[in-house]
Amino acid sequence: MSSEVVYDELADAVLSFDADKVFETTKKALRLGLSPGDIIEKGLAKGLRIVGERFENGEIWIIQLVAAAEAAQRALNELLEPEIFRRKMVRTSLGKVVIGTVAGDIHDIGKNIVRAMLTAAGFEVHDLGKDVPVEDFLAKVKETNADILAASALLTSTAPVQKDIVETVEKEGLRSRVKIIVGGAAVSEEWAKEIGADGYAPNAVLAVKLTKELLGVKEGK
Amino acid sequence: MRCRLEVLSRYEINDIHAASLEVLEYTGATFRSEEALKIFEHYGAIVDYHKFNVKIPGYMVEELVRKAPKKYWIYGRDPKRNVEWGGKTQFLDLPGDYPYVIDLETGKRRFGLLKDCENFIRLGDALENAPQPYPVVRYPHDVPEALQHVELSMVHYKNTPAPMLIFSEDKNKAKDCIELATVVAGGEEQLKKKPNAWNAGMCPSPPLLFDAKLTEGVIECVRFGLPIWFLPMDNVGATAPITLAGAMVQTNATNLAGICLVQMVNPGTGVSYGGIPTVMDLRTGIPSVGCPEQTLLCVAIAQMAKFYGLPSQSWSGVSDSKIVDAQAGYESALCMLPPILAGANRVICGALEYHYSACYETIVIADEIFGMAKRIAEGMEVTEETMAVPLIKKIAPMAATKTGAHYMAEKHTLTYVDKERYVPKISDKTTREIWEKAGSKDLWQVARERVKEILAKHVPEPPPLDILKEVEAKAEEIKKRILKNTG
Repeated sequence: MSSEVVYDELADAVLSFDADKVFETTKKALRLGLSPGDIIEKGLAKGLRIVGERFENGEIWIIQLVAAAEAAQRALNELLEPEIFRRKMVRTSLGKVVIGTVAGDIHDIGKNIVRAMLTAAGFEVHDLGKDVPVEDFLAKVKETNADILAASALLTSTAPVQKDIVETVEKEGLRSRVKIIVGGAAVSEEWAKEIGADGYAPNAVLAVKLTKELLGVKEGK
Repeated sequence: MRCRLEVLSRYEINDIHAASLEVLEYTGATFRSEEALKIFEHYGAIVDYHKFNVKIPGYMVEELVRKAPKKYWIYGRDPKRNVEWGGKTQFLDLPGDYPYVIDLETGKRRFGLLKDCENFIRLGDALENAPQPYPVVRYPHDVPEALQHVELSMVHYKNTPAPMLIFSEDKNKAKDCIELATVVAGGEEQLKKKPNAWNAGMCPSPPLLFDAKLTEGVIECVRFGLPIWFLPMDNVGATAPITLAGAMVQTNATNLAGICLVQMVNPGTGVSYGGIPTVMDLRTGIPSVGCPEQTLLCVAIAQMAKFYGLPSQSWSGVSDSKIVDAQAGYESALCMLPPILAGANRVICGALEYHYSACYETIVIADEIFGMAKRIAEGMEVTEETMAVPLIKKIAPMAATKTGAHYMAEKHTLTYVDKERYVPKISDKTTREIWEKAGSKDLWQVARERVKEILAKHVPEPPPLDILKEVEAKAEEIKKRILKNTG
């Protein structure tokens, strides 16, 4: 079987929104000796890009988008990353992202969708979960040498924490090293500008686009 | 369970039925057509030719109404477009017979033209909820009156594979349209066996008056077994009692009188019970629509039709507003939902200015309201599977974990999403940023763009070329005949 066929099968599995199918197809691809990097890039991420386009065109719903992203994410976390580790390979990612829902806020659905989409798109994502203190964001950025800090806030009362994050990153002298993006129901483009963040996206597909733009990654990668 | 609505109790339905029989037996209805009077007399009703009056005994009404079929099919030229009429079928239809159209470009009112008929039919043809698009403009200003029914029939035939319409303003016009339908059906026998056209609406004039020409047009359709829609236009407080129960007795008696005539002429011919209730506005005297009383009457119409086991329709989603604004929205929506919850088979929607102005945009808006209303009517299904207890047990505890909990990627969600969720077509559900980037459009603009997109892109299934040629030749022949006769 040519490897191209397997990549197409992987992409199709993602497009079927079936996590078990994605998992099994990824297993099969590894058995056939394909590299984890190619499985991600030529298979899963390709499927995800098509899913993203279909979502943007209104052909599928957010539920399918999330199902596809989480299916790809599960294959990544449970099969591909352990394999990369086992082979002592270095995972080439599009960039490193530290993501979390800010302190005082436990609303994490939107953040989880963005996490899944970024992971599936080929970013190395470090998810700090919800109710994350500013210091934890900072520590993780330092530890991983992250390119992007993504902070989510749903409540009007917690959006100001995003401002604290920008200020703290500046104080620590990391502002030139890490781009800060914000999202969530309480947030707008206007707010992002006001607090001096680098960008805002209203949904997960656009969040992936924004992250790629900020890191100078070409579309279709 | 399904979401249902009733405004009449079982006892009240019986009361209205009995009251209507009393009216028909002791007061009767006015039929201006001698042909109709003869039919009634022949059947045994009490006829007064001088007063054009027909009194129908109660037992006779009940016997005749029972002859009307509960359900029947009308055949489109594409079998996919056959329409099953009655039972649980519910669909949207375009409204009709307005003199004016709100121009799609200028937003200003102007006379309706033949091009509008074509556009409205094509627009309706593209809407899944409207399997039987009506041409909306029935008297196009740019076509001589004597030829309008032929031109309309042709425009309709060419632009939708749905069943045809018989524009039966009088006997001759009915005959002309039936000739065209006969060519399409492939002969009279096939036409009678598989009716491929509806009579395009019979509107008796209240109180209880059947115009001669319209009635004779109907009789012609009925001889061929083509189904008839009854749409009495009782105007509450003006041409009908101000009490809604009184108005309903009159609407009901009018429907029954018409149905009796149909079943006398050709027993078993399909009928549809209905109405276009209006309510005289107390300040201005206009026949107001989109008002609470109209809504209640539309629900009562659906209920009475069910009582007789007949399909029903009513004019339910129209407005008095002059433009596409909040009033147009709430009046249409509030009048459309209740009859759908009451099980009305056909709701006629999408127009402005109390039956004066047709409007393209309101039709795609009505399509959205109809979709939402139908979803509400479907109600909530409660089963072991839909209560999803095992799933809740699996997901809810995950809220305590770092990764969080949600149902979005679950098989259960993917399995049920299409069944459980109505997906809006034109309502704005975007975030403010995306809405602003797209030009901060209001619904009128969005609807207008959707109409334009449909009209630019939608190509209705064309008729088979050989039959089209035959039908066109027949239409030319009919037009020549009409022009010769009218000089």
